Amino acid sequence: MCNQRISTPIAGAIVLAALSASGTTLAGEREYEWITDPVQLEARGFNPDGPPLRRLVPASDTRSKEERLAERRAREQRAGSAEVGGPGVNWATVQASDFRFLSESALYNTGGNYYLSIEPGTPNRFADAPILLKDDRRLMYLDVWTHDTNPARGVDVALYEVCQPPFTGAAAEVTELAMVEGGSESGGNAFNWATIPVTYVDNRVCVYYVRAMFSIPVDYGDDVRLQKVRVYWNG
Amino acid sequence: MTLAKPLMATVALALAAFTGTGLRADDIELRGTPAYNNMDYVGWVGTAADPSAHTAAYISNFDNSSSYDCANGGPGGSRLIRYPFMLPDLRQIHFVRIWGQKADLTADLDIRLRRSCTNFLHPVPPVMTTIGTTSVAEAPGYFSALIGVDSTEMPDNALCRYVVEVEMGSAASACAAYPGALRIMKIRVQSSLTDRIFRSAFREAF
Repeated sequence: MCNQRISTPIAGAIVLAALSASGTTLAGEREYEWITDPVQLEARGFNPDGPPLRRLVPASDTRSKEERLAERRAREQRAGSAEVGGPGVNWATVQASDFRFLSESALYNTGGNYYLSIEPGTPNRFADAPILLKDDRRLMYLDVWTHDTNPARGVDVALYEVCQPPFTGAAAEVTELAMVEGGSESGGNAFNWATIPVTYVDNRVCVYYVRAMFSIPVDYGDDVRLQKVRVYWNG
Repeated sequence: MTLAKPLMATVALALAAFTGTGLRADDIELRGTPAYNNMDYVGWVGTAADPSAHTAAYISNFDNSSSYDCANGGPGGSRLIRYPFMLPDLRQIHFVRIWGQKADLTADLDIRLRRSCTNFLHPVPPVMTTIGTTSVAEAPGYFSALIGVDSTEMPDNALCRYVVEVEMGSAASACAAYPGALRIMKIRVQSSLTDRIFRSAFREAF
């Protein structure tokens, strides 16, 4: 009897703890900030006089790149093998030929082995690629492969979510989910990534795209190449 | 009374377990969005368009949505863009929905869902079939247009490829007076998997 009196409150506490923990996981509160500075909007290829841009507060991680890379490797080893297109696939990838510059007047190259680079003097240096993500998955990382031998130039890549009501026309609600800044790279091939703050895919309401942003002035060519972009999610 | 408390605890624990693993835990290949079970959605931003020719002028910086804004400000230039897509076999296509913006003095939109099919092994030209159409006229501002699809339409990727075509008026006149006046913001294909459990995976032995 005594045991029963103790065990019932304990069970209740466990239940409450489990509900609380799962509720926290499911709710996944997103923290936003707004980009209103015309200079910052223009740097992203957006209309400086257009609507402000909503951004998820970037995830903070003070660990070294080596430490974070070790964590990534451990995670991928746990994931095991994945059948092509099957349920074990936790990623979607785009590369050069998937990108479209933001006007038909852009000057660019895709190279023999499919990278994306601009030509000097291009009137447009921003390019978008739609990326198809699986419904209801939690996004984890934005991965970017580049080749960069110019210490003063680079290419940044950001992931955007564009949402509208499911069945009616309306202005789009755009959120910057993550950005990988590649401006300081100059050592040739590079792999960088950003952790995506809590975001679940909702294809009923939203679409997703990645934007390549080549730096200015546009006086370089193949020195800066975007090779591949991948979005990785939690199965 | 003796049984009631353990029973309640069991129910509560089961509830906790269900909540913890529930809505986010399904790991099937393509799952239904919560509250719209068995329906799957796939979509693209406007700039995913393939212009039919290099004369199709466009721009995309009106807002932040990566829309395709027709920029042929005078006569001439192609007005046809395409959104090719692929769905896995055995899916039933239900609807294609298009979001955009259309202001005064812009060209009307004709939107078509088509498929291009060939014979499996024989060298025959592709046969294009229009599956559904819709139009957007006048100046609705932000709009959402729908193409309904016959319930028998199921992808066969061995033979066919699907495409959403958007025609922005004719080359005889401007499609829009200014950038952003006529644009495609988003395309969404809604489908379901008819045999969700077995996926017709029982095969005949060769």
